[in-house]
Amino acid sequence: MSAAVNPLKLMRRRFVLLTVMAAGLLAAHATAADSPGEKTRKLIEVLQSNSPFYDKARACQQLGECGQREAVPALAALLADEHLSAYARSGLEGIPDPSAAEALRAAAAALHGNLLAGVIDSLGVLRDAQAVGLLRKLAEDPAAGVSQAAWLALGRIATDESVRILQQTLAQGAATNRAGAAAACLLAAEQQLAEGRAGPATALYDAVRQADVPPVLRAGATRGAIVTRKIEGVRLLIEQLRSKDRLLRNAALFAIREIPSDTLANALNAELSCAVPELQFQLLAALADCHNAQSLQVLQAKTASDDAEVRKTALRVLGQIGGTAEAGVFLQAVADNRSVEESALAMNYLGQMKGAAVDEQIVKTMVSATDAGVRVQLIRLLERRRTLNVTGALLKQAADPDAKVSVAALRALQFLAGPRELSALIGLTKAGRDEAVREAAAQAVLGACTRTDATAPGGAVVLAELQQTTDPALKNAWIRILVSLGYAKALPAILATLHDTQEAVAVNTLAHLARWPDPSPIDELLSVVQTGATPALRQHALRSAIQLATTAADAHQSPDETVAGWFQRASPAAQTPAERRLLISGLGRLQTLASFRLVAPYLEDPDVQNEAAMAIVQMAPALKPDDSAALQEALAKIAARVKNADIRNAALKLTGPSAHQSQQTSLFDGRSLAGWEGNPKVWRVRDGVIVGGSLQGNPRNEFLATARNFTNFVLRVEYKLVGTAGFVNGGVQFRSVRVPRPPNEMSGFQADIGAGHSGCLYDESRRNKFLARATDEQIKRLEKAGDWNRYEVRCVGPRIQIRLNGAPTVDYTETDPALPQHGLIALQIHGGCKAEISFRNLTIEDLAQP
Amino acid sequence: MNRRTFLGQTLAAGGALALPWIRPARALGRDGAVAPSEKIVLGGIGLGPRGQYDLSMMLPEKDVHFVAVCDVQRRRREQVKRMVDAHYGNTDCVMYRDMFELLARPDIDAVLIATGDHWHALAALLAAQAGKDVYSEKPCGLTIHEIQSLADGLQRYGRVFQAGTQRRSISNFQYAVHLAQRGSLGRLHTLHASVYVPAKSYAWLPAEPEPPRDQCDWDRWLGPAPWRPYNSRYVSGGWRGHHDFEAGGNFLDWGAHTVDLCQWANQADHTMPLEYEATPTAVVAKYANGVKLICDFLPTAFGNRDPQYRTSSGTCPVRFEGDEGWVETGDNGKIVLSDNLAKFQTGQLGGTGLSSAGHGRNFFDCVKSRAWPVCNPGVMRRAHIACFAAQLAWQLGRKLTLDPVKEEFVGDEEANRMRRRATREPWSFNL
Repeated sequence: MSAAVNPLKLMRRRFVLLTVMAAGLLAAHATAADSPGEKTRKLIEVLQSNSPFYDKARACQQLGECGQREAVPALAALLADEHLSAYARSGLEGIPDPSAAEALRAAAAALHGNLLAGVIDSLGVLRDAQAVGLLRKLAEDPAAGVSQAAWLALGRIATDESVRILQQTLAQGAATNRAGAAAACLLAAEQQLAEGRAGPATALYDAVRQADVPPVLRAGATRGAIVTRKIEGVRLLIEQLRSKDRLLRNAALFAIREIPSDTLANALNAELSCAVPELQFQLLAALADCHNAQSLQVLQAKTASDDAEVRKTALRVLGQIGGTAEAGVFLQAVADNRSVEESALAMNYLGQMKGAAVDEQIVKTMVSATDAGVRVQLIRLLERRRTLNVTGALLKQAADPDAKVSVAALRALQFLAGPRELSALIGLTKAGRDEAVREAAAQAVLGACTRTDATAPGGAVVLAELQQTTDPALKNAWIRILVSLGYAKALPAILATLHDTQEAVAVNTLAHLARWPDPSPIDELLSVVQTGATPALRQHALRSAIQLATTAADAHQSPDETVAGWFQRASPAAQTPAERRLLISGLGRLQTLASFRLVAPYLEDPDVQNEAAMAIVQMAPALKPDDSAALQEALAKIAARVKNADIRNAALKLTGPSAHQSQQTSLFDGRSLAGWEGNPKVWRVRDGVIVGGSLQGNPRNEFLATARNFTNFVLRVEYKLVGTAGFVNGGVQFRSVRVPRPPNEMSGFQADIGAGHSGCLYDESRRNKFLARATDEQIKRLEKAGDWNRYEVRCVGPRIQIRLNGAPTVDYTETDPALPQHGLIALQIHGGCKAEISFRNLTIEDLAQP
Repeated sequence: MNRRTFLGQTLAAGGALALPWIRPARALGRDGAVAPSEKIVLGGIGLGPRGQYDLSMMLPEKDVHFVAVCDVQRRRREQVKRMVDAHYGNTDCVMYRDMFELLARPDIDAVLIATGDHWHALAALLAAQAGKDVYSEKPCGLTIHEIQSLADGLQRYGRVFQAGTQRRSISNFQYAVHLAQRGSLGRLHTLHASVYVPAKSYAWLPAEPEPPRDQCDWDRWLGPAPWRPYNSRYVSGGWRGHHDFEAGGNFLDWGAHTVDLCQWANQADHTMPLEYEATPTAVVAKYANGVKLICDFLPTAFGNRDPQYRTSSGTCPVRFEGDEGWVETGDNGKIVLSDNLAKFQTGQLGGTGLSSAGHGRNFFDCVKSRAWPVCNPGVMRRAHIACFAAQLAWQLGRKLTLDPVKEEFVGDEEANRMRRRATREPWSFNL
């Protein structure tokens, strides 16, 4: 709100160039510290002076909230003003003194049209009994043009006198007057009810019902007549339900929700047996709000109706108000399968019912259902309910000749079966004639094996099958399962199939082995790469070997040199462009000097030059500068030759003297916070280390920010975070700005620290989400909780890379060109925790502008 | 059709209002008596950004047919017509500037009302009188008195009404309330409803020349609000924050939703808290059964929520705390639980808390069955009054005690007087 005050330019209200008038202006007139009397006096002064329109309007509103009776005359004087009248009425309606109503009555005599209608409205709001006479005159005078307003005000006032007038008019008045009086009667009846006078209210409602007035008013009166009679109203309600007039039927339906009772429920139950179809589903819906025990029976019967809407509504209401006792009805609906909607409704409610008794019923229905589709539905229901003890029944269904049923049952068994069902499932896999069934059975076997630490025993059983069988399809299935389980003991047998007489078996095995959870098969695979009898074998082996090596590189499963060795052994065999690309891609994940040396020759290979260039460009920043000569040479080659412009430019940026120099400047002098700014109560230097936050508690986020901005750089810090409660978290902010409100916050990129987010890139107080994350496994493995950790943030153009204790965790390229590529660097301690964060050895290496 | 003859009444030169229920019996509509197999004919009043969003959820309903839009701004009515015509592949959507013309149409069963706050209650009442069922965006009225008038009037005419507090129809909020209601959190003791930091302005924007009525009918835009000079910003969303146009100093913008959810969780739809006291960061309210309702002030809609809520919950977060655990959820659809209640975790549930699809469906089902929607007038009334009471406690800077039956403040005349303001003539809540 502005505090500035500008004078008025013109007085003509419609087109005046009023400038903003602040509430502050009023402060000159009345303050909170004034007594009510003082306040009233000052506001009266405003009204009676030449104050601007705005001031008077506000004065009226304030008088309405806290003004005293002395203000009534000043307010009344404004009732004739086209725009101030409503404000003045706010004032008068608020002041609890008879003089307010008196002033309104006096004004009524002098005003016309809208202004008069407004005054009448206020008299109704005030329920001024003394206005009844004048209101009657205005109501009955068509020339005055305020008839309706006057009738309704009489309705609000609802004294005995005004009610008499209304009733008279209902019976004898002209058409529009009757209508106005009828609407007023509805208001009056409510007032009577509020005063505890139900009898007169009912009489009034009855009078309107019988009057010759618009139907919507008679319907409103009908609702009132029913409701005020309470239990006695049931008969009237039922009578109205049978009316040919929809308005009256709807009034009765509405009233059901207002006066539910056992008596009414009985009446509704009875009515359902004879109601016209149009009303059936509405009555059923009403049972949800008014029912008794018999209603459940009525609903059950209606679920067998010929009318689909009736059936659906009955099912729905039964589901809402019934309990598990209704399971049978729903199962019947599923079995009858009359429509998709009904089955879905029934399935939904069955799904919510708990208990073994319901499970039993479902199984019974499933077993006896003749329709395969129904059986499939019920099997799925058992699967969703995660029902125990139904595996026996499901196994029987799994042996069903209908493939759909069999597959559904096996799918359910995938989630429900355990070690006990294993042999039966294996049997089904062996016996399955349909490929879909065999697949589903194999999946079920896998599921059974993974349940409750059953991996070892399950794996052993499957391994035994593998060793016994000669069927190639079965061999394939068993191997697939064993590989999914990662069952180490099976590896020799699996590898043995690489020399199977049937090439198809060997090829399948080779393909599956790409998924083995660790690199153990690699040597064998590489051997097949060299000595495999056919090209197909050699190619599959190569693919899988490269795949395993790539995974090993990504997940750091083996030392870098070992992994590099594998790639090296594989590389001569990579002949086709596709194979070479696979190899290069894998080497690109390794990101070591060794892998660079293996990739570099491929720059000369026209088929894969782009891929090799891309891999090198991606690797380059991660490489130490030791072999920078060879790297620079490769980058120069790329910049010169590669057709793809993006790759060329990326390479260009990486070349040049700035890539050689590592000018690391220290950001912290070890003694003071020179060069930094932040809350001195939060950030300090202790034993040569920057410390932020407190184990007593950190109420809000706090940042210690550099004084200058940075653009492209490598930032290296060490951090240590300790905390005992709350969201123990901090971070390193970069390319950021301070936020003006609230001043403790900052906005921009953050390398997060703590609470499971170390090594991840978060967009703080901007897009408010993680832009890139390390895996939980990586974070756990790399970070030393509560101890010192090395953090590195590298920003070059849009690319952001983060390393935690030397290992890369984030490699992110910002795609929004509007975001700044420069900003402050800051250290954060998060709010809402008891924790302390420490930083040391903070250095920055400015990289030249690209 | 000439409105005067249609309504069968002569109007004086002052143009006093002809109320819509005065009409010949033969022009009667269906009064919402729509058979299950029929379509509900829908009209819209004041559909700006939020209203158009609601409409986008309603148009795909196969049993709903949108036929007409009313708006005092030509640009808005044209926008809606374009949207509707594109959906149906025709040019049938009718535009009105005058609400009474739309309400007089006998074929319309129900209306969607999404005007600014200061028109919600009166438009809904007029629609109710005209025999239409109503889906009204929140907050449903500008003051406690408007809410009372609205709820009373809807009951008087037996109309189906749904308040646009759609989070009651969204699965993650439903689930959190379900946990609270069935005792999974133990005995409830504290409910948290997030709201914006309250703010209220009495200042007027500078006067600008009024545009032609067809472009923007300023007088009609004001409607029941007291007169002030036109400024184009008011009619393009800039009415927010103004005492005369926004309900409760922006407290109810989220409060209408979050307090409503807390009422529901506490199974308190039939009542409301008794005591309300403001602190610098919240309004603390207390129910008769001792449960606390804390309306936490959040400085921004987005961004950091700690420590009151999880930032990951998104907008409109609520949290329910019992002596055996707590649950929190917000528009991002996630359920957050105290560690000991991990077994109740379900993962992502809701899509977004903004969607009114399910809520609209509930309304349409009730238009046909005549049942009461989930956010019916009684539910709306008490949740809204609780919000207003909280906002008044903040505004007045003192503790308020409310009689939940009489809906009056105990021993505070000023607070009671602030429940109501005059209605600008010729508009009236005496309907």
